[in-house]
Amino acid sequence: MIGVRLGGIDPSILRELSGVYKPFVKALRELVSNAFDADADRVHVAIADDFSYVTVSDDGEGMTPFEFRNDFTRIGGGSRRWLGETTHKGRLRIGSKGIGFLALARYCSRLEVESTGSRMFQCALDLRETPVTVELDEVFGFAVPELLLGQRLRCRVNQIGGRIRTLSLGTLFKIDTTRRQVKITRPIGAIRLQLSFDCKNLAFRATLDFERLLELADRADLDKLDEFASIEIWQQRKGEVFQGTRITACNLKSFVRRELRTERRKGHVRNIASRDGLERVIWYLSRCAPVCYATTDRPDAKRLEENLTVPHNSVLKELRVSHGGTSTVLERPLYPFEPDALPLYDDMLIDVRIDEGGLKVAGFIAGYESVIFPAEYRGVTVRVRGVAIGDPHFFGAEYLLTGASKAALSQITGEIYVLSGLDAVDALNPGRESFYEESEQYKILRHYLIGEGEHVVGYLGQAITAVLRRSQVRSSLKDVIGRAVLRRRALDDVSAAVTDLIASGEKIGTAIRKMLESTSSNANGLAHCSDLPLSPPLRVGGLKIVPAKHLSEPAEVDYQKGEIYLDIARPEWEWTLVLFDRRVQVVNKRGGVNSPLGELDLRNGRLLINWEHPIRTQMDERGFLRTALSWVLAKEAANGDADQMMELALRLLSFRTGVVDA
Amino acid sequence: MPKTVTARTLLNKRVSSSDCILLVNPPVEETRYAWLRWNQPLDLLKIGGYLKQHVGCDVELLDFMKPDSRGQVVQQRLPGARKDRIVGGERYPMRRYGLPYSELATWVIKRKSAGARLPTQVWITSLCSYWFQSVAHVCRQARQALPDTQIVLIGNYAELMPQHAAEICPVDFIMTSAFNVHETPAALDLYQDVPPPFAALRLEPTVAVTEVNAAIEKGIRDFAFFEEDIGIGGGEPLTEIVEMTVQLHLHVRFHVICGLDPWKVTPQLAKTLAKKCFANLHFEEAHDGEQLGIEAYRRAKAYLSEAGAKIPARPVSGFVWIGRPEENLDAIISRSFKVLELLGSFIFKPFTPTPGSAEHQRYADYLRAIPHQDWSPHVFPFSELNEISRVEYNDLYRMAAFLNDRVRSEAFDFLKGTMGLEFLKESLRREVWKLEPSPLSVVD
Repeated sequence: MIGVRLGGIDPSILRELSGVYKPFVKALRELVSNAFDADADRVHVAIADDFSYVTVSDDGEGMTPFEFRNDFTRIGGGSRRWLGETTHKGRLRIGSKGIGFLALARYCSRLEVESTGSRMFQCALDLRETPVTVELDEVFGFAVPELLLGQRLRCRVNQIGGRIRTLSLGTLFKIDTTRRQVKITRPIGAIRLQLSFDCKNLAFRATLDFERLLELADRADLDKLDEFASIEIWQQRKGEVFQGTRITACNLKSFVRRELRTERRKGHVRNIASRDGLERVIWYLSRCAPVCYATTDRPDAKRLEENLTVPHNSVLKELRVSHGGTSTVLERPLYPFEPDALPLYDDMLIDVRIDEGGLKVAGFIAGYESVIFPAEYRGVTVRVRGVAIGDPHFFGAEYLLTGASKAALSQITGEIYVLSGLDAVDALNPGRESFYEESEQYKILRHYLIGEGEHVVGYLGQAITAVLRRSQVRSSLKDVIGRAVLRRRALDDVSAAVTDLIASGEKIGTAIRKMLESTSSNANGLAHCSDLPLSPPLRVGGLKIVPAKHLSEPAEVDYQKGEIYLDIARPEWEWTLVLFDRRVQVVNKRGGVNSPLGELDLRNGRLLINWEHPIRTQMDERGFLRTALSWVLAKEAANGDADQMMELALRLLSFRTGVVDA
Repeated sequence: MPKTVTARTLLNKRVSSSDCILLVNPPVEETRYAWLRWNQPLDLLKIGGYLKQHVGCDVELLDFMKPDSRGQVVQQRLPGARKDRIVGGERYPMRRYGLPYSELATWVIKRKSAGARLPTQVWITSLCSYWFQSVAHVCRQARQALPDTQIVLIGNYAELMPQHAAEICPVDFIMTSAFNVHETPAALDLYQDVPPPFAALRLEPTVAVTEVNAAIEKGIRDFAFFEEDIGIGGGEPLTEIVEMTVQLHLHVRFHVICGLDPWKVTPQLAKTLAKKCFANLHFEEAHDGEQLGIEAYRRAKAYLSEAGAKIPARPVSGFVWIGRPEENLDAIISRSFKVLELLGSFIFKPFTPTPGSAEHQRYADYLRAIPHQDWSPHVFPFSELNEISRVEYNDLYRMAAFLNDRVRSEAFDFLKGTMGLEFLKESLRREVWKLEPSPLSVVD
């Protein structure tokens, strides 16, 4: 193995840069992104059974040793700068900043890189004075073996501004493969030295010793920096068919292994963070790596599935993760596609389309009726060139909102795809975790998503409004039905209490029984008062109430039509009261403060309740109904016996059927 | 007032093929229900079968006591003032065993929303007369939820105490005689998609075999005999049923939970009971005059051993009556120890007289003063007569649990056959008896 020199940057900065990829899975994503940029179709992430190492191999176009040295290990040597925006296959490159090789520096002690690349390496040096001796090790950055130099190095020297176009080898310059030098022997002024090295069938294996690197960083020993990397180059033999790149993160740090070994939290778990370590890595990798979307059988998500925009050439054909004999092909999961996701309604699904200032974005934001689980789905994921930028978030809306609007965020998920405009170099922080907020295009994106100022508008605002609208309708409807149920429960309580008293065989039970056999009427003033209809309201939460019968639920809401179908055939909307073997109709009256609390008209099978009695202001509807019914029945059954009336009323009032018996 | 009708009148004059009859097994309000898992409305299932087969009407079943998917019956502490029942100064926590009463209204709502036919009649059964309160509440619920439907009260309560029922239950008809449906197979299909965990059988071989066949098809493997006398006909009906059904499925298991009189165990019956398909045997208390019929137990045990049954490896126990009139503590304890020694386990069977029975007649004056709901054997209606307090009865239950546990765990084995065991028994008799009232609830 030969040492490789990585110059030009302070090791302590390398240390700092190595910390931008957190957690481990984000570092792993970087290797997958590199493979994508190398035009790989298939990437395989193999995790050792004992979690001691992880290997990422791909079938891409690989690297030559020179590319490894100049592009892969060079800080700021992002291939995009040298090779252009797109790959040979026309993919938009993900990498840009040239710090990807440091991604795993904190997570393993050594990185082993094996690769092949059959491209020609070429470089040119302008030398002002001759004679001169050019050290090839310094030009290449590492020592190429003598034999390979002899076979593959081609050298061309031109005089700059002179008459000699091409210097002849042997006369004016020499190549010393033993000493790995090019010597210009005559004083002929300034020259241009052009070197080319044929890398066909050339393979290399390089080792980056991160432990050493970070140790050097502590000592800031620049001179010894070349000691952290070494390379071995050889000519591939026949039958040696390896094509692409294989990167192994060796000797994973104990905290990484511990994390990967973490067991699933006991009991029912809802969030990804509670799953076992390997599951978590797989889930996060599938969410952030450039892989195709998962599919779904859910009919409510079909429209979304059809409208999902995935730019051509933006995903790998296959990303496989294997460990311990099991292998998983990753697909990008989306919450609406999950089998146990909440139902997705059309009025809660917001299409996102932006085309302004060179920024082109497509995607969706979806609101749900309840809180989204796993929690990791909450928020909007932004993808640039297939890769998720950071975790799902709300573009700062969470700091602007309060109360119910803020709570609504936990019911929102989304995914937007930047088709063009947000370039990684200008707009993304190192590590691809967030955007530079001063980026003009990011400002446009944010403007469309949450608007400006202190109010959240835009697409996210629409989603919040949809969530709140449903929540408001549900809550109002629940309140309306709940009140009706409580009123019904009051009637049932009194009805059950009458049955119970009669079944007890006690004297007061007999009194009630006797009273119920009567057909007289004690209704006076209340009978002439106007009715108080405690029927369903005309509108709830802004939606029109449409009476219906025999629905499977107490109410069904059609948000598209703006109508609520309320099942008025349910017991909660009935005002009948079964008193042992008699059925009476409870009629609600506006009797005013001077009329009695209630009157019993057994002749006509009616029990009149005065809802304007002063006692109504002292209690809720259920309490008032129970009280009024109990006192009216007690008064009638006691037939003037005050003690019995008191006893009866108290017994009727204290009876409970229990909440579940409503 | 409801009309009283006989079963024949009801079937001939009140029911036609155009009817839709809802059969209801109501919940039970009780302080304790130890044999809850063996509850099944066999009478209703047979009536359901009869109505379908002979009348041709639609039949639906609402079994409030139906076990859930885990085989558990829902139970809930009663709310408010009904939380506890105080009898003779002793406080009994009250529970409702079975689904809430509102289940009937829910059932009606579901039928309506499914567009299904609503019942034209509701037949509500009643098992024990002293559980009449929950029956009355179900009648009220039926009145409320199905105002245009005729309600019929059937079952033991209706038959034994029609007058009481007429005053308590708001129904249209009270059926005063039982249906003769012994020869009709129980309609287990009334349970629809979720069958009960076991099927109850009576000793009618032809019918029982049909029932077992149908039950096995539904995935039921456990069968319990609801019979007062298992040894009827020298045990031949039982043997016939077992022989004709045991090969139907590898895991068929029979449970003898009542009606097994030790005196009636013959070598032939023992051969049947010794079969592996019998999961457990519970012997009724055997008497020899005024004394416990020890000889009957010994003989039954010997026959079973000869037939190859391993006792006590086989779950075998004996019932011991508790709460009978004119009993005393020494006699109960003595009988308990004897049954424990003979069978390895005993279970207290609390007593209450059947209305109209000889015991009822004999103690009619005493019982007249007791509200009928307090006839529940679990609150010991003869406590005052026997001058045994309810606290003492509860302590007996605790003693039973303790002894059964010790014997099952063979904690006394090292003393077997020694005078030490006798001393221990005596000391247990005294010490257990003198325990302070425990804050723990009784487990039986």
